[in-house]
Amino acid sequence: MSSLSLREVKLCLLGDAGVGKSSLVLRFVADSFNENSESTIGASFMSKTLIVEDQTFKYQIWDTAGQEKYRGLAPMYYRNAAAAIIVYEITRKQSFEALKHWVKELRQFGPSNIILAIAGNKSDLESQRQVSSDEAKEYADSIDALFVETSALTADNVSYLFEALSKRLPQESIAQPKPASTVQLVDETPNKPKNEKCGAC
Amino acid sequence: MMEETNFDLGSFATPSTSALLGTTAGSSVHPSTSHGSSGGPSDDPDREQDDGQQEGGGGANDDLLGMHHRQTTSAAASAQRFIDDDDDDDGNAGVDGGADGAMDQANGVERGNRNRSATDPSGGRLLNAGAIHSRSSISSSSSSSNSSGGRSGGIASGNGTRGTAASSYANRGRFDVQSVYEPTTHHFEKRASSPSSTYVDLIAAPVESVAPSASGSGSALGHSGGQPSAVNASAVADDGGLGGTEDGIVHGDGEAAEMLDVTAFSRWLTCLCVITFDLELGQSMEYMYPPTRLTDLEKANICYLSFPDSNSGCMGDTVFSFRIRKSQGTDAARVNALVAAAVAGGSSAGSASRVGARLHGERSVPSASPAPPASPSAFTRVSRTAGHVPFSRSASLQDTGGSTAIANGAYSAGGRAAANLPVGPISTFSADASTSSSADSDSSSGSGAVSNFLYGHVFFRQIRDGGLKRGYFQKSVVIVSPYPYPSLYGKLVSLIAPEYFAHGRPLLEAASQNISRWPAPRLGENYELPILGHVLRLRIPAVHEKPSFYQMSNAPDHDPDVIHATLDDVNLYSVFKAVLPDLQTLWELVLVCEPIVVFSPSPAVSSNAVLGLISLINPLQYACDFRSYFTIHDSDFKEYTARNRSVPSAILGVTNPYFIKALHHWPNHVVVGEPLKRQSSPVPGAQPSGSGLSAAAPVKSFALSPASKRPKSEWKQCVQVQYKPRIERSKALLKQLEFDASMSDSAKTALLRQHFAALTDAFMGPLERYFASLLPLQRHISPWKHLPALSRFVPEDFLKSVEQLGPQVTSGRKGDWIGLYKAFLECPNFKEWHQGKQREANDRLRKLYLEKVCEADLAQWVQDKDELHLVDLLVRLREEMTNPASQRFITPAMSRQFGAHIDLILSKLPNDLRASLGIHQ
Repeated sequence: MSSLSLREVKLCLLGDAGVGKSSLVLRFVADSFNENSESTIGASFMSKTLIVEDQTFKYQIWDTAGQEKYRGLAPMYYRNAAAAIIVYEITRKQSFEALKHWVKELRQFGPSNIILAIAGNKSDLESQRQVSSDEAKEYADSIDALFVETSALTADNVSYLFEALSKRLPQESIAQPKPASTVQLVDETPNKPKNEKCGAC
Repeated sequence: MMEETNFDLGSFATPSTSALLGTTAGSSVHPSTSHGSSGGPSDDPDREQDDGQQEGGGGANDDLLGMHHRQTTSAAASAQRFIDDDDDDDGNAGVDGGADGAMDQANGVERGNRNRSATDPSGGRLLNAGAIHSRSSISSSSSSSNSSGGRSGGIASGNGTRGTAASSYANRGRFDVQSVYEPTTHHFEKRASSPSSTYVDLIAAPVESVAPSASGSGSALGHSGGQPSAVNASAVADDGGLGGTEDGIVHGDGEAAEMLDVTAFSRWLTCLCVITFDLELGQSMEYMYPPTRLTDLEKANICYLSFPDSNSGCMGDTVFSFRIRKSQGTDAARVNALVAAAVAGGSSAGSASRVGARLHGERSVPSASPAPPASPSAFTRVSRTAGHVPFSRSASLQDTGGSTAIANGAYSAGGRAAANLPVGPISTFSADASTSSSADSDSSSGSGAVSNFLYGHVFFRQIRDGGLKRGYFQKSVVIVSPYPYPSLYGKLVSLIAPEYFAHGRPLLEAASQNISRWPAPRLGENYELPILGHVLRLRIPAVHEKPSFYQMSNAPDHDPDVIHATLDDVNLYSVFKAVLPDLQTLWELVLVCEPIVVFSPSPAVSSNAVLGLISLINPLQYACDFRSYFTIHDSDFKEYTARNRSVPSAILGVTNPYFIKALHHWPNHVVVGEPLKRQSSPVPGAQPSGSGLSAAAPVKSFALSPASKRPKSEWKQCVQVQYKPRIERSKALLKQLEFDASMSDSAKTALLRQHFAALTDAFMGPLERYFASLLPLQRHISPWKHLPALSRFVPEDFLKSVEQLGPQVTSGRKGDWIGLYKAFLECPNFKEWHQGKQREANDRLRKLYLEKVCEADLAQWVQDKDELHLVDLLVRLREEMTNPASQRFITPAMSRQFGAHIDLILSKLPNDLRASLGIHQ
């Protein structure tokens, strides 16, 4: 295991408006929290390097907007993504239902080998809970997704979420030198077919 | 000369297709009909244009034209009235607009709704008329017309030529004031109180719906809140040209626009535009994001240049670029108009401060961090400065960049950024944008020619769509940018446009949001630029960085993901393969700024060829004008086709056969590109090389018109010049390119690049050496004396040095090098290069000098000096402290040292003198 190998991971966050996707990312990337977070336009981008078990992951995080208006844009962000985190808030049942739609869409149109994680955010608001952990866990298991309840506010489980996700990423998608072509635009996430192409070059 | 080229008009445009699609062939003739309607006789040059079109485009347009004429006559007349009304109220318009600064977005919403529900067809008609009208003014001025009748109405939208543009500035000024009441600071409460769906609706509302809801008086615009009619009218006059785009967008766009950090956005892009083909208007601006203040002229140019000119063979997707001149003096006029308006309306402190904020926003350097809203006192400061140094960024302007002005200041910010960061790929971004005040004088003298332009990067899609009235879907998405960088912007627009066609306006918001988070562009830095789920890797080369192809060709493991933001990414070989033996002649022509016109079958080939030409002299920067795609509608048309004066030093890329006649007198002609009839194979260079995107899909094959059956021989790729090449060609290279079939086009391009880089290097070597000899010696820099100056560049001395050690010796290549140098020393490329070198040398000298002053042992020096010497040094130190040219080199530590120096000198002076000097400070 060499810590020199750098894996670039395209990651996409999906979920209803207001569930705390941007807050999760902000907590993960900058370890901070902004109470007056503005709603996201389109999708915002952040990157963060994380070392898990001697392996360096460079996460390129596309934090999509939850607003309906931007919903149609989601495929651009999960296209070629290695992983997706679908977020709901434990205090709003409806956001959990919306999550199921996202899973369906990803299964149908997303990359076939995409790693899924389900994050039940706002776990600090236990008193207002509407979605039980068991229910969510059961659903996550049924789709073979990672499940974590998080709180961007208290930072609870946020780094765990990304570490656990990193461990789930298939070994073979370690980034390799890009093929020497004139294709200058980079789809950041190395996926299996692309790597095979690399080998051919 | 031209007889030999055998141009065939029919191979550009075919009768049936241009009638069917009626692209620019139809619209180009609008002007003359519109002339007629506003009282002016249509004049000969316009007829001549028509003839040009008719020959190529056939007579089928006549019907179309007739229809236009009938539909627009009456409307044009009423638009005329409208505009005249407005003109009477010049002075007051701004005042009222400014005073009404409190109008908030709620009104905008209401207005949007009202307009959307407006059903009176005459409203739309009126607007259309305005649009056609403005076009007529542009076209008439670009021909050699003296007709005043056709022009009188054009006042509101600018007469097109720079000479008469003042009236359009006045309009800009009015519009500025009018849009001051956009409350960008209110967006929090507003968002809270209005559901986002409201904005969605507004944004989705077609621009046309914001047109005046009734014809007649200005107040019919549908503004709520009792806006003075003059203001409204000015908005119409101002926007008539392009379908009321600004009005619609500035007020109709909601949340997303306000949340966009336009200042940050404009560091990279001026705006994104969507250009559509309107059956009645021709090309029109359907949408612009973020709302950006471009002049009518700029907008009209963008519209026209975003569509193929007179040939309809560009089926599928086409990516190309163009370059337009920014309307001159706009900023000064804006400032003056705003100041006048604010002074007149001085009773309202609120409006004054808003205007002040506007001025700040426009004139201060873009800053990522929002500054507090400008106060009324800030306004006074600005207005005082404005009169004297309209373009300088004094310290007082920098410290209060008005964040409230940002939403409106997009264009200006971009413009200023352009002036501040000269745009050439190899040119001089100042090391630090925010402090390089010297760039002002520099840009006005040196690279001004570059920063006075905007660049358009077009993704044009034309596909058959039976569902549309026209039978075709024709739309362009255009990135307007302050920088050329075709590799970057070509890729960007190729990414954005197809997604826009799929998702609509939210996509533009999403893309803009990404762009607004990009770090500021600086020379010599690497970037990872996230955009719509992708990450673009980009390197902006440093000033003297060798062009990327060295690395490309010599270092196989060079990271291929890096997009080099230079002009040299054109696949030279594929564009010029038919004229390779002449390419070196073209290198000479470009080097000495000879005028060149490039004829090609499509805008894509045209822009690649022109950008390819100017890249031949890399890393030297081409200092003259170049238009990668130029059409008869460009407002500079007249200037470039005038026969009564010398041909301007410029490179024009054209596709319209009309130019064969119009530019016949240009000395150097290049014809490149396979005629479009060979639709089955992609047009050479139709896409930016290696775009690897959907744009890279070859132009789709398409069963065309009779023209496609014409014999190929009618279009002959060739180079015809009235210039005797001075330098011997490399036959070995030509042979290698011709016979080595194993090499790919890009490998051949790399070879060509290498060849021309070596040639340019050999040519520039003596110049660099001579210039180095002009620098003062380091030991001549003394803290006690003034900064030593560079020696003068004496052409005779230089030429003497060439005789001894010129390229004929160093490169072994024979030819009349002296002759080439003589021509070069006379041309703008030399001037630009020389000024760049001077700037750089002076900066270095000044930095050294300041360091020496800081390190100097002043205590020792003052021992035996008289008052005169002390005061002299004191004055000099103070000058350096406040000299903008020095300030960017002065670190806080140095500043403290300067302070200590000054204190020391003061302590050595007698009390009375010290007091007077101290107070003076």
